[in-house]
Amino acid sequence: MLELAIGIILGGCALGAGCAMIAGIGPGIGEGNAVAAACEAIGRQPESRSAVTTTMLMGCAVAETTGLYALVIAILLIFVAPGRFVNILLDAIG
Amino acid sequence: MLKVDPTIKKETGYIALTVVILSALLEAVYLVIGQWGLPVLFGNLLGAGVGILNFFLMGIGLQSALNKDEKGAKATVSFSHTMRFLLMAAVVVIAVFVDFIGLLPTILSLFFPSIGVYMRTLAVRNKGEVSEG
Repeated sequence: MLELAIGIILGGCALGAGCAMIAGIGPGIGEGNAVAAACEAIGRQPESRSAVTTTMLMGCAVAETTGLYALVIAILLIFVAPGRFVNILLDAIG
Repeated sequence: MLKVDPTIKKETGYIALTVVILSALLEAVYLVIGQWGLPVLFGNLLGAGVGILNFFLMGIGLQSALNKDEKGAKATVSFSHTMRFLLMAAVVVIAVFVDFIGLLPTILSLFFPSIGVYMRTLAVRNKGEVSEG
């Protein structure tokens, strides 16, 4: 029974980490679209290259934050959470 | 060798300055609450360094993408994003497993460049409003 409980904990953590990493897909797509639009804008107005680059850089950095949140949560769920949850379980059983 | 755009150098410098200030603040907070130790310092250094490096690499990736067509730009940015994501993952995993590197300071420091970007955006917006008014 204990093995089953530990298995459920590990499975839940792995599933949660996988779900969290779905958020990592968004920034990649978003950055790609932003750069494609920036290329188009610079192609139309080459003199605005510096301003477009600055804005794009800032936008990409902000967009990437969500991916970073997801990454951190996923890694914590994989490496840190299972040990803690198993300890809590073992303490509860006594 | 790729010549780094002055805009990217300038923005990275600004972000690095913000990260240094926020890192000092983090260390001060840890000192005040009495939790300071070498793991906090090492974690902060690792997280802040990688955060700045990530921002700089993102700038380099975007710069090289701007010189390509739309399809090539998307592919370049996706590749750059994946590589930087792996770098971040490696750093967090190192922080989890290495005892003398604090996990929380590392994670917090990784977010400092994002906070710097938000602050920069707000500062630029306020400056614009002041100059318009």
